[in-house]
Amino acid sequence: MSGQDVVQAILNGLCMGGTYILVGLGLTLILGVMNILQFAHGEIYMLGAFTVYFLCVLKGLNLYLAVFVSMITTGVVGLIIERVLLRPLKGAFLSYVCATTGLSLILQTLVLLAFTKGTKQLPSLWKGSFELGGVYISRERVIAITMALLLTLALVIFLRRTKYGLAMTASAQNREGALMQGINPYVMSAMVMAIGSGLAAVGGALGGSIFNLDPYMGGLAFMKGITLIVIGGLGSILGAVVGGLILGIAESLLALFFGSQMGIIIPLVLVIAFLIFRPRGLFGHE
Amino acid sequence: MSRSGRTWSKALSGTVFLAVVLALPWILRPLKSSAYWTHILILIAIMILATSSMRAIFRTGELSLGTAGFMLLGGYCSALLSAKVGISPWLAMLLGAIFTAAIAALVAYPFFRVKGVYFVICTLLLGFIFLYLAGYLDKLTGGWQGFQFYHISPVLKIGSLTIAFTTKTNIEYYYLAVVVVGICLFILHRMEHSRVGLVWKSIREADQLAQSVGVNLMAHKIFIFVVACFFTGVAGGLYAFHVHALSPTSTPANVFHFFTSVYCLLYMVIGGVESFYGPLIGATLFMLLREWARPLSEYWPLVMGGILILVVFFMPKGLAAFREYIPEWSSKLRRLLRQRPTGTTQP
Repeated sequence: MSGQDVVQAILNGLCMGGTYILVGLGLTLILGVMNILQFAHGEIYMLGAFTVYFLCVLKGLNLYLAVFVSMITTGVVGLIIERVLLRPLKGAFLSYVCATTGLSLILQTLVLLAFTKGTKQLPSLWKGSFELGGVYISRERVIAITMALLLTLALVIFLRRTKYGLAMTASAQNREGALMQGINPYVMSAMVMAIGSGLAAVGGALGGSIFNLDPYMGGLAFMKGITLIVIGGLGSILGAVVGGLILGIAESLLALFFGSQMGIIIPLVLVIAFLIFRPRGLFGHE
Repeated sequence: MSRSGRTWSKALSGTVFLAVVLALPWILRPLKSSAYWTHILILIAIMILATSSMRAIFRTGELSLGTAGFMLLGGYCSALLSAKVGISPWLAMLLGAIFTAAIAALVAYPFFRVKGVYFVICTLLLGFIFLYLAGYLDKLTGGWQGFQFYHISPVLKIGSLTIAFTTKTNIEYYYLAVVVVGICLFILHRMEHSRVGLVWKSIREADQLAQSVGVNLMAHKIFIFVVACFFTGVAGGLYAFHVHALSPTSTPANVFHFFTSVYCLLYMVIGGVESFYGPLIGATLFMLLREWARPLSEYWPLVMGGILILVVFFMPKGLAAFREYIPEWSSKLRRLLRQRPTGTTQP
């Protein structure tokens, strides 16, 4: 194993981190504002990938346009889920867990039934690869990380510079306090579901151009999302980005040294350790 | 009804239930596929035990989604002990459950330092870790190909009488499962209706208040977690010696996959979290429905998910409390019927 392999693994991991970030951002926003764990978030990611597949491969739309349309439609799906399913449940924690798990079963089966069986893959976002001193980076992975970082930047600008973004942050920090300032928590919840779902859809499109599509792909993505938000710190955007990059790199390095199984197991152990010994993660507060 | 009358009706319904449970394999006997249906009954018994364990942990207010993972521990441990070490299956099953409880005891203290959704995440990920570890340690567990041991079955010798719990007709194994699950449920039932059970309830309702009157939250939570994981391990062991083929593949069809935890959650919620008989009702009804709906098996998760959401919305106490919904629904219906056409306002 040469140094080149290690550099290659780090670069690949960095690019994989991009898709994880997009899933994790939605999860962490929803957890922050609505205080629930969206168990169907992985399925939203899967839905985004399949929408792109439907539009681009089956209907022949331009790929980038398809990704954009998928982002919008999945965002609307998120909005509907919040309004129809989550808002009426002003109840116990168990009912949220049940409603979102039930939703994830439904979405999986619907997609499984709607599409024919067999391997599906999205066309490459940008074919070919760059070569830098013997290290190859496929261009689609570069696109993945660039898009992820750009969207994160847009999200940060939205949260810091706009009225609605500030209201959302306020609602996440203190729901009652924000309510007293006239910020409607339901509007914030709807917004956060729409934004989170849209981001996950783009993540699905990026992940789907690197891996194969299948209706159960959401489970793994959901797990990665949890992993990175716990490592980065719950509710922190910066934490989600750094956590995603760390997770991507750690995964591919561990896979290089100990085999791909360990690449999955060790991050999970790490998450449990983080939750127990440092629940606020790397960048969380309190 | 008078008190003694209630006791009598309880005893009578209990006896009838027991008689039906014990007679079921003989009722099914004339069917051509009786062995298959007995196999389903055994699986139902195992899932009832797993779901009841999950519910026992939930009595303290914490939801554990590690059921599938702990079943895997119990199943693999007892299977490996009997097939590779050569211990008698009875002892292996017990040791497997004890091993599961020991692992649970190991993780319980750190896990219970977090609450709510974070505890759910911990247990969920632990289940995945066990699944991947079972695939990774291929020297020990046979890796992704799985682990088969068709030649070993529990055998009971009483004097000159020998009963082998094989998979030929499944009837012997059915009785074994019923007895084991029955004992476990009895213990859980007694615990829940004892002083300890009340303490769990107090922890769920108001943990800080309970702590202020001297309840050791951590000790009680760890205790019930370890006990419940012991029973989950028993369920895993029962499954292992029934199916004789274990695998760590991550397909939804594998019983050790995370989906089983979700299904247990489903059985528990649909049956009713509040009632001890909720898991019995939920698991029995839904596993039978699933068999009946075998031709629709592709749609099955859709149906399950839909029913789960409907139950959460309309029957938050589950099927076990269906009698409470009738007045509520009928009053709603009456109000709906009484409603004036649009334009007039209601007082």
